[in-house]
This record gives sequence, structure tokens and C-alpha cells, in this order.
Amino acid sequence: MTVLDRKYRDDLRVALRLRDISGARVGEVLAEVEAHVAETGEDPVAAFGSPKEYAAKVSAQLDVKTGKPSRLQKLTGTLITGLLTYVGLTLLLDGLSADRPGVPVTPAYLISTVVFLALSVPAVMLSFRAAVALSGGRVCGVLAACALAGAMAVAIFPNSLFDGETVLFEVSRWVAVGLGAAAVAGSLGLVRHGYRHGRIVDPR
Amino acid sequence: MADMTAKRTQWLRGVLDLAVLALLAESGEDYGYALLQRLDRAGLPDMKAGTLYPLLNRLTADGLLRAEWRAGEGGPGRKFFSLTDEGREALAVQGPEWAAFARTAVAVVERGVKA
Repeated sequence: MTVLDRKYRDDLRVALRLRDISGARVGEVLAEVEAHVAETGEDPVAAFGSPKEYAAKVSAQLDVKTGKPSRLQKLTGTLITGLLTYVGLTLLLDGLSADRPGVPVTPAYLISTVVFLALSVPAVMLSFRAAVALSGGRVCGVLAACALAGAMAVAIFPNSLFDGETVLFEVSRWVAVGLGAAAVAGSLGLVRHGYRHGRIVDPR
Repeated sequence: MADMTAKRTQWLRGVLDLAVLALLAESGEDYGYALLQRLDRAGLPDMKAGTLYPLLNRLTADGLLRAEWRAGEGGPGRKFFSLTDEGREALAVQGPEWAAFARTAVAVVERGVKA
């Protein structure tokens, strides 16, 4: 009995997960490839193509009901996770480090939140596209790196880039801490949900 | 020759759904590798596992096939596929349609070859 090459298996698993295919479906595909190679002794690349190519073929045959989220679901999930993480961490840190009872909310904070999301969400989507692309991945990778650098700059220097002087309103520091903690917990919950959705199950 | 192999693979893709349904209607059930061998013996060669398995899973998701893993003898197990009632109905409806289409296509090509 021929055992599937470990590198091929690992690369295929990663290629399938990068396409956001559910853990149950990934387990099914890996089991099929293992069983086929064990029975035939064929080279997996000759039988199925490279891991990236086969993951693309598998993904092309799947839809929402068979273990692949829609583009809108992916976009919404990334956006909500990014928003909760950014707003949660900034409120939590500002609340904990405040030297007065209120945390000021400035135009810089609001604008940087929007700009951060507008750059970080495409950065994440482009990174995944760069990783799974059969060709042209380098362009996506460069664009993702640029978007990520911009998002980081906005997150680190919001007051230098935008109006950080004008105070629109103040939030009690403990309200900020509470809201921040709730938002961070929400984003961790979403990450946990994603992890459970991606847990690979061997169907055999 | 490589071009002709690629052409045949392209033609086969157009009828692979029905060919798989037809083979499973004949045998009752079968697993991926055995279906590849049967396609080859039937004169429809050059089909890769990497094309057949995703197709089998799509037909299963569409409710035309049912799939079941069974333990192999000392092996990693095999995934058997069989027709559902819906799959049998799809074959009964689409099979004759495809056969009529193929006859028309063959007639057109043969007229051109003889011309």
C-alpha cells in the first residue's frame, strides 16, 4: 500500500483551507486522495495535479451548501472581525491608559477606524488570493503588503495623519473599557467559530 | 497526439456527468478508482482522478448520488457511490436527450468529413 507523501498532504490541506473550504470537506478530500494513492500507487501530482491546482478544482465544484462560504459571507466576516478587533483594542487600551475620567473621541479616531478597515480588509482578502493564485499571485501579494502597511500606519499614527485635537465627545473610561472588552470578546468568538468550522474531520 | 488527448478529455468533460450516472446505473455502486478503470475500458480514456473525484462529490451534493465510506481490507477504505432516485430520474431524462444531440453532432461532422 502506497502512503500519500506527507508534503503533498500538508500542502493540499493548506491550499484547501486558504480557499475557506470547511474542515469536514477538507477531511473528505484528503481521505479520497489518500485512498486513491494507496490503492493505485500513482504519483499524487500526476493523478490530481499540484496541491494548488487540485484545491482550485475542488473549490470550483463547491458552493455554500457544500462547505464553501460565499464571497459576501467572507467579506462580511472579515469586516466584522476587523471592526471588533480594532475598535475593541483601541477602546480598551485608551480606557485603561486614560489619566482622566473620560476617553476623548476625536475625528482622527473615527476616520482612522474607517481607513483602517478600508485598507486591512482588502489586505486580508488579497493575501488569501495571493496564496491560492495559480498565476499572478505576486501582484496580489505586493498589493496586500501595501494595503497592510497603510493600515498599520493609520493604526499607529492616527493623530498625526488626521485631526486629533478636536474632541467630538467623551466616553467614560470604564464604559470604554467595558465596550472594548466586549468587542474583543466578540472578535475572539468569531475567530473561535472560524477555527471550529475549519477543524478537519476524517470521514473514514 | 498530445493535442488529440487534450481534445478527447475536453469532449469527455461534456458527457462525464451522464457517463458516471450510466456506469453506476449498470453496476449499482462503485468507487472512484474503479469508475476511472471502467471509463477507460469503455473507450473513454485519459480521465484523471483530479477531475473525477470533484465531479462525484458535486453529483452527491446535487442529490444525484449517495456516498458511503467502507473499510478496506488492510487499506485506507473506499468511498462507494450509488444512484439516488433523483439520479436515476436525471439519467432517464437527460440520457436520451444527450444521445439525440450526439447523433446530430456525429451526422454534421461526418457530412463535413465526407464533403
